[in-house]
Amino acid sequence: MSDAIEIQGVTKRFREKVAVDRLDLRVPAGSLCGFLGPNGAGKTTTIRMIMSIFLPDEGSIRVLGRASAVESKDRIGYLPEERGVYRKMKVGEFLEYMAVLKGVDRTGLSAKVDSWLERVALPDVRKKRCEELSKGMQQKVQFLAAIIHDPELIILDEPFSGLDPVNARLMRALIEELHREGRTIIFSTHVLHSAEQLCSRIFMINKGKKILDGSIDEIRSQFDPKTLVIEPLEGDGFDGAAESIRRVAGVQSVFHAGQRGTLEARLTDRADVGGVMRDIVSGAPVRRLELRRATLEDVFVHLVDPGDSEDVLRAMLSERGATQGLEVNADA
Amino acid sequence: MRKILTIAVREFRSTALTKAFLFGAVVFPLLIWGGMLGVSAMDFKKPPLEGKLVVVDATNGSKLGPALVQYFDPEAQKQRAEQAKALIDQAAAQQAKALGKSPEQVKSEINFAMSAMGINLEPAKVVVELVPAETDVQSLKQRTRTGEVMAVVRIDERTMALDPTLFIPEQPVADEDADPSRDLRRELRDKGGPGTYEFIQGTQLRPDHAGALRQGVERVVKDERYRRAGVEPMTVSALSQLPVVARSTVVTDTGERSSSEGLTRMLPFIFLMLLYMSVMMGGNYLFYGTLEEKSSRVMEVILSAVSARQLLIGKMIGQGLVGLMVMAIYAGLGMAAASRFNLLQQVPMDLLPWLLVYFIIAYGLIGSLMLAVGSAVTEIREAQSLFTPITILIILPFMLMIPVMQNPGSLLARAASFFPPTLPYVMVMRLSQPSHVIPLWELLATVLVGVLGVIVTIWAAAKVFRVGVLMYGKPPSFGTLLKWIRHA
Repeated sequence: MSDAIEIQGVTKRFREKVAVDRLDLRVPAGSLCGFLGPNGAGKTTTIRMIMSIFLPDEGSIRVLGRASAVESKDRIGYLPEERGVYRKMKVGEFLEYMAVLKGVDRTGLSAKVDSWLERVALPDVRKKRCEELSKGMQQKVQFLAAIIHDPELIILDEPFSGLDPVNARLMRALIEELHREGRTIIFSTHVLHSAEQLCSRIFMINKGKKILDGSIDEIRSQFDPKTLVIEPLEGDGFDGAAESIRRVAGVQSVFHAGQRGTLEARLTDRADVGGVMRDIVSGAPVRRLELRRATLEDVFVHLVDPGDSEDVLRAMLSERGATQGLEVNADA
Repeated sequence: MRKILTIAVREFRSTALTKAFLFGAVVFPLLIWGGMLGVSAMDFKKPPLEGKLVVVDATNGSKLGPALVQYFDPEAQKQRAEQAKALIDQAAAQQAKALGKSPEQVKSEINFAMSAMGINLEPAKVVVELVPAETDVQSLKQRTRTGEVMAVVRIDERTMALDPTLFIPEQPVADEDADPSRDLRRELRDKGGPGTYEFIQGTQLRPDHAGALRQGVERVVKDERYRRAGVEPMTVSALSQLPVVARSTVVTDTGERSSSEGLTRMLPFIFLMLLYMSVMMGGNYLFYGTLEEKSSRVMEVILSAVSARQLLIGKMIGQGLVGLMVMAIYAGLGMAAASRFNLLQQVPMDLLPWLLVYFIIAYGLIGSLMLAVGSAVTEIREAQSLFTPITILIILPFMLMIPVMQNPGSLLARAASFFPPTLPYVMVMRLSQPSHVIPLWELLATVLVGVLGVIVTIWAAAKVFRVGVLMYGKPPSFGTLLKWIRHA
């Protein structure tokens, strides 16, 4: 299969800051790829370079077999992270305008706009001004603006941000549908759950460098920590149970999990998972015993240093602030 | 190219086909224009002068009272109207010959101008009531209050006893401030000195009717003065109607051409305003449009379909058409007004193509700068500091207006014709001066300099635009913009 996007040794600097650092990336045609990474990792910069909105300082980018996206803009659908609509324009006019800008013929365009609006459950907004729509509705209109011209390659930058669960589900269904039609789709996201459900392929970057690239199954097996989650029956003594599990052959370490009353046992690399589980059950009665699968979240947290993510840092800061606030209240 | 045109069409439609624009730029001027015509048309149908005039003639010999009766006599009025008509016919025939028009056309134009100026040849029905000289004026005042009498006029020897050193020109001087007789008139009126008479009226009397009555009094007073001086009044009026006309000729390098006064003096100013308004209109829409695209975050969506260069060119074409439309509307209204007042032959039509050329230059410069500022900021108030240099460029032509109008061939005017930001405005002002001739090489050279200026400005604006459109956050300073131009 040919590649829809081929990025080779691309570097982009803003002043002294290196936003993207010698990035290599291949997106096979027809794949549905998740593009992950903490905030500020260089995702949007990479996508903007793919779209030729920014030009790379070094390296080359081939899009749909051409030397730059400029030559194939009409075959690409792009939903930017910074997105909006013409507030005074009517929804129908806006979508038709975007379609014509992307080289769609005017004949039959109106019917096409209608059918798409129907598909995203916005049947009666055609004659409304964009500013009259709610934020969620505007997001759907923006999505339609990105795909109204039947592009071969669809690039969605944070398509789920700001959507409620119902609309997020609708968006997932649309992405899957477009993928089934044979289009190549890349989307960047923070919502690891969505990526896990949708993608056949994942790549992750951090500090402008690629740190992960492969299919979901490959990544899972690569990062499988071989961890058992154990919930001992009460009455038997929690610490006693922990002690007996630690003695089972193949168990590397046992520690208290975040959840109250559960233990986690990390196994050695060569441990026989089935044997270990049998041994644990025979040693101490348990309410629950399961082998945990690696989630993307595990992988993400494993690979990304907390300091790398602005979000994590911010969350920590605000948490500290909240605690301090509580203390002050207690004193008063 | 198709994409550029699509953008241009959207820009034009989203600006020019909105209710606010149609009202501001089209309906409003039309309303004012229509309103002015409507008011003047209404005024033409003013009621005829009808009513009673009470005259207290206290002069020696009491000749003025009967003279006023004679003045408002229907037969005498008819005679005067016929004389006036004959004069108009004569003037119309002369002017028709000079302008190569039909006498009827000229006559209708003269009639229109006369009615616009409030000259009425319709006979007035004024009953003049002569009362004895010793009648108490206070009792007469009461009659004006009730409206039974239009006005009371009291003339006595004080009116006639004119100090010969006090000379009051009969015709008003063009520049009223410089009229030496103005203060004198006021003094006479306030103090009731020599030459004054009493004119007492009620509130119902229309100003134009009062004027017609005063005109009559003035006529008979003057005639009596002529008579006392031993001159036949008819001779004076006949002599004063003989024309004195200046034939002015301007000598230029390429020959001679006649010049006319009036509208032509205003032409440089009119053309400057026309150019300025349309350029600023287009430029403003470019600024606000770009700013809106940026702040509504639709910019990157558009850039996914077109390049920054295509967007920039499309926007400039679209809003340029808006500016041109505005210019066409105002120019059209101006010409309609000029033709209504018989001034159309004074409008230099050969100037219009040049106006278009210099519009493109002026708009290309200011428009691309405004576009660059709009793309660099996220909010209007951030644009304030960036606008300062542009504002200076915009004010420059106005600072040059007076010197260029007074001396269009001066070194300053010619130098400003080669400085791109002032070039289009100064050239339009120079071109619209009939007494000034610009050599062809200079015209072409200024256009060349202007086009080069536009190319450089658009090139720089495109660099700012390309960087600015996706730059959010801290507003850039002017220095930052220069950096973008250097590095982008």
